[in-house]
Amino acid sequence: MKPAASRLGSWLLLAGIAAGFLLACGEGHRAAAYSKPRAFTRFHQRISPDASFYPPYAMLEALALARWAPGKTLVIIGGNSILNGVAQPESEVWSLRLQEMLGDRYVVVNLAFRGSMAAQGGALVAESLQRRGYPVIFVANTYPHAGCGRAADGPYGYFYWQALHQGKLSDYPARTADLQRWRTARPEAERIKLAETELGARIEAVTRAQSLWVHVSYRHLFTVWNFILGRDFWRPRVWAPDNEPAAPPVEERFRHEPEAELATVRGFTETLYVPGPSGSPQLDPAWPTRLGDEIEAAFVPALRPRMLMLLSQSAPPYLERLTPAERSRNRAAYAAAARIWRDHGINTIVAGEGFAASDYFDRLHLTGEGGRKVAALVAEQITQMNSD
Amino acid sequence: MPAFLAKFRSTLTLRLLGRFVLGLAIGVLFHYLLYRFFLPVQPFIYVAF
Repeated sequence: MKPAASRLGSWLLLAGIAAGFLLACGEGHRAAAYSKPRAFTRFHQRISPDASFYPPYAMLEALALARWAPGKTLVIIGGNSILNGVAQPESEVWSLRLQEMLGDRYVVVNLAFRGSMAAQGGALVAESLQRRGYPVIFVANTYPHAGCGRAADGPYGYFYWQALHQGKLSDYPARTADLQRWRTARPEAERIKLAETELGARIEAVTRAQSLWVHVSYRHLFTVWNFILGRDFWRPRVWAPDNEPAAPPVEERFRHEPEAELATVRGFTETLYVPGPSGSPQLDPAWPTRLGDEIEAAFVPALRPRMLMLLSQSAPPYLERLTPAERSRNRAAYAAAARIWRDHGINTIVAGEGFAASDYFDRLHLTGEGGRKVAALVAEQITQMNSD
Repeated sequence: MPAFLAKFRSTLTLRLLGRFVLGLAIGVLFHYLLYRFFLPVQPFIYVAF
């Protein structure tokens, strides 16, 4: 090539790089506006971070808005694997029952993730949509000792940073100050990780790289190896059906490390007790303030009256093995936690009281039948909330 | 235009076009690498709590 042509070639190469990158950004923005899993029921294991599938925040909103129509109330489900419907085959997922019970005036969207906290994922979508004038009810779950977590914490923290840098969230000083304090107190390695996650979210807001390539991964070709899919890792995730198994017969359940599981059940409330003046355990007097501060920082005041919090109770085979004193402590802690949540303006119920062993798949997760019972409880509460 | 000159020009155009297409591919690759760069390094292993 002659020097002039060579120079022109270099410029064309640079122009091509810029054009290719801008083209991909444009496609990313397009994907962010509509990309979502087909025939969506929930984020099952193979379209979850467990299988290296990290849905962008935009996908959560796209899922909620795709089903909404004027006159309908959006019921957004957040929280953890219990509300995700782990242990319920696709046709038995509790949120499908909830949709049937609530009827056409409601649109139920299950945005719960395995291991997620109440303040994460769905909570941010509910806040964002409520802020834009959509009628929203947010349902999530937790346990007395677990609180609601922080929006920016853990593997789902990226939802918060993406929602924040895409201008979806309210300016809420209590949350910003809490996150700042929490962030400053983290060990340096975690602070660096958080900074990287936030930088990623800032870049996503401009380039929509995650939106585009997750869309490609879902529809065309998956490019990240992971141990759950193994040899099939490359197949587009639209191919991977929801393969949550049905529960085995009840006599085969609750056998996995029963002593360790029982210790966990005790821990749900044990950690909330301190020795009282007479030496007998009493609920930690600092706990209501601690939990209250967490709730205040996590949920904007406007959302709280439109929220329903479920305090998930453990399976009867474990509760029955507690001593009478432990059982009474367990009941008292759940009742006290419900009071604290209600004191902060959030409708709260204990989910699982009076349920049978057959309603549970393991210590926490519900079978289709247990899910149906939770759906009935939630439907009743939602109908009441929406008529107030 | 003599045949050899026309051939030279068409080869040159193809080369220049090739450069541009190569650039497009690099730009798209760079966009993809941004996605990969911000994926968590450690796998997410779900444990019920």
